[in-house]
Amino acid sequence: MGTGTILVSVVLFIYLSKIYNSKPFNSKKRKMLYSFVLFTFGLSIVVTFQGNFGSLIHWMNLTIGAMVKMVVK
Amino acid sequence: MSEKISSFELAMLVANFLFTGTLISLPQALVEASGQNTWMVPIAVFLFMSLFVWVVMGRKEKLAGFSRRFLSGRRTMLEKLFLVSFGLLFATAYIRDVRAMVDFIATVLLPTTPIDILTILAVLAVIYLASSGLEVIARVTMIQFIVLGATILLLPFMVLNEITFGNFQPIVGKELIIGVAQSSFLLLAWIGEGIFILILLANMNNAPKARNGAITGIGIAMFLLTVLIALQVSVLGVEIVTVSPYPSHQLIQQINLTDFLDRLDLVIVTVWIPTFFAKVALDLYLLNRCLTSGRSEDFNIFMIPVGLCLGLLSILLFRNNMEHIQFSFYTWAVWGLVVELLIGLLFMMRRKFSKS
Repeated sequence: MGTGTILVSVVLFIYLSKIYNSKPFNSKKRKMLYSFVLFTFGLSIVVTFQGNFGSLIHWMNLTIGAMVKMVVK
Repeated sequence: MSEKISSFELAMLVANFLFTGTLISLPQALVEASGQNTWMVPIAVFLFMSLFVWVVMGRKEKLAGFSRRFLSGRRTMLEKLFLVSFGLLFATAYIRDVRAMVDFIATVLLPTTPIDILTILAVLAVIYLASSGLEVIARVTMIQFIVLGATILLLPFMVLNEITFGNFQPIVGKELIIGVAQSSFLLLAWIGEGIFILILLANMNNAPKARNGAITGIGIAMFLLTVLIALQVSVLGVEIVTVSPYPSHQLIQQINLTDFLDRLDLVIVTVWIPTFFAKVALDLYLLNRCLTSGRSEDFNIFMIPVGLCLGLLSILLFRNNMEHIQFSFYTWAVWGLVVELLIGLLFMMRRKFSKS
């Protein structure tokens, strides 16, 4: 996960520099900043709950998946 | 809508979207449910899906006018619900597909490369293709899918010396109908993803032909899947297919044309991988369309953040390969189908309440 985060950081750096260099502060720049905030917020949620995310699919597999398995097997 | 595609391009998009996703591992679950009769399953699903598309899209004459009004101007409550359901379906499809691609590459091609690196690199390539727009995705898909289709059609000749027709026996058993019904249920949610055509109606050169294009695409995908499953059963046998995580890959490993062409499977995988990239790119494009629907500029603004976030989620949501397979085979059969039916229902309601 660490190496992946570094790669993502490089992409984000390029993305931010693109925002920084675009002049003047138009609606496009504003939307890019919004999307940056969206991404960092998403990433922070991902990192915060990374231990718990796996249990979401695990729980779905145990409930919905198990019922389907019962029907088709 | 500036980007336009023809009904043939739509058919290729649908065929590629449905076929490239299902061929990786799904035949294992299908053969497990219906054994040697699995080759009948795509035919049954084709009939059902064609009927579904026909009912949802309605009469051709009214489609042209409706395609101009749908998702344009101020959103109605039905349209908002439609976009939310659509986004939910294709966000989960994107996560599932990215993980499927990465797991396949990590297992078969690059076993020592870390999965997160594979994910990020794959996602970056997908974002690049998706941000090029629908026309580019359609053209890339068309070129690659024709090559893939030709390869699949040549497969019976390549494995001719390995085919055992006895593997199809008994053809009609007492469990035929139950087995095919169970298998069709598993396949239905995957083929139901073809419902993405509803959001592309405004992009059609000729909207009334969208229905025929979609049904043609589903037909091509189901025909190729029938060929592939029949070959897997006849060459590998039911017992091997039911325990193989990648039965299609195992099938092409059986190609034994000459003594020196012993790694022909890699060539065929090289033909398949770009088509799967095009499928995942279309997933992301559709998701982006939901987020930016109705806006006249900056269509790609959310593509990089959303693509990367969901790419990372594809690593975190599935703790291991087995959980992903369980999700794709069994959980998706209900989750995907429910959301697809909801999308179809919302579209039909919007069409009914639309002013003519």
